[in-house]
Amino acid sequence: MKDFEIAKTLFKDSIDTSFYFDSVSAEAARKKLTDILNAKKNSLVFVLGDPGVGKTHMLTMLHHSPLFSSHSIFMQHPCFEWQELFLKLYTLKGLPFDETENEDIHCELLGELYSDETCIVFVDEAQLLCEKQFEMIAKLCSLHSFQCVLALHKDDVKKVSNHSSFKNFSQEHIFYGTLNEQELHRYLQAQLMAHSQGEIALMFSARNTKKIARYAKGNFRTVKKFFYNLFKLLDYAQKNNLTKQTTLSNCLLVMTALDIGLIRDA
Amino acid sequence: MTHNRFEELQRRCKALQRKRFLKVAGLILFSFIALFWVYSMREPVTPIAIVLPEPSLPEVIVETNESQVVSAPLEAEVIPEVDEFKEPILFLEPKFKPTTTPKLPQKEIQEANRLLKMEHTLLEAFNHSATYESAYALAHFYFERKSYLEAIVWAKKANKLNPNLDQTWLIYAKSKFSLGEKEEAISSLERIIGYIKSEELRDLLDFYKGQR
Repeated sequence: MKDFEIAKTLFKDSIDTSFYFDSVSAEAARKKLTDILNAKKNSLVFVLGDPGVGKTHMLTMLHHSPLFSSHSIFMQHPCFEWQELFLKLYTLKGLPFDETENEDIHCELLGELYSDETCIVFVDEAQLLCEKQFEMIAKLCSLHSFQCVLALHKDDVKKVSNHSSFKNFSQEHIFYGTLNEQELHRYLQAQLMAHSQGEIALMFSARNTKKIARYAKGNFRTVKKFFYNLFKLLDYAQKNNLTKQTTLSNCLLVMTALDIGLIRDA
Repeated sequence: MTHNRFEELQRRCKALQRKRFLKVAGLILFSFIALFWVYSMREPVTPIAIVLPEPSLPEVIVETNESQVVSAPLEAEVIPEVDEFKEPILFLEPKFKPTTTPKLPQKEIQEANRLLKMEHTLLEAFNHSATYESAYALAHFYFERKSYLEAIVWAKKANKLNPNLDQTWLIYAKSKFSLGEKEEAISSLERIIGYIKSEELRDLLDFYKGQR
């Protein structure tokens, strides 16, 4: 008996750094970013891509990787105060943060602290940063001890990169693409096989995944959402003895697409 | 996931699939109608005629007695006037169509086939059992067809198998004579007559000697 309940949990919309899928675009972006960070030439790096392609996953993975974990901090949400950012920087060096001092003094101190080793600041959803945050990042970049990696939506790149605070710094842009049909099939098989769900993995033909890729438009998040809902439907059908719906069919794929709003029937 | 939600999705899916089917079917039907309409509205094809431009007449120079050069149209002297000038029409397709299709000479073909079969049968017979009779039959066959070279070959084969019979020697000598090797024919006949007492051979030798 196929365990769709377990298969469903594998595609929850959460960031799992233990699993990395080596799609072409992901590999290209990861390699380029690693090279730039190791070269320490550019103060500002923009990781660009559509929402849900895997930018956050890549930043999280790099932040936790042994290469950068000792000298990087990750700001997962864009609504942070300068104190929060500085606290993380002090904590990374194992020092207490004095809240009584003002921003400029802390900047000087941090410059001295990180003079021997460059620190990487990963910032997610950078298109939502405010003017004050832009200035703060610019201040850190001007110390020449910090490299800032900003992940943002592709459409907002002009607004951020052309910001007056960033004009004086050397910038680099990295594009993160979508999954193609073959990659999607490979991802599904790899994920299910890795969790001993080979029987379910064999249910999917290349034609099925091609159809799913077309619905999801190669977006990683949408793909995961699709599979989560698909297994939810299959699980329900199996538990309620709806034998016709326990096998993968075109109708079931359409039902899933309707369920998550990828198709509009009205 | 509730039962109602699942049922609702199923219902929506079916409705969507029905809608898509109708859309595709409508599109195909419309394409068919459009194609049919275009085809029916099309005018019948007429042959394309290419009209050649009327050739302009060149002027020739005629010398008169006063050694003056006078230009006169060539038309009056060179080209005789035609009552009615017909414009040549060039058709893209040849107009001529043969009324009767040419037939192959059936009798000759049948005869050739018959002879081919016979030759094949005789050769098979010789290959099956190499006897004087089968070799003689082949020599006779080729001699009748005026294939003298083959006839000589098969006559020789027959003579090897049985040199005491005069039929094949006759074929041999006649073939040589027909090929123009008269001396060879006569000498061979003279040699054979020493072995085989045959009136036929002697008559032939006399005849050939008279032909010298």
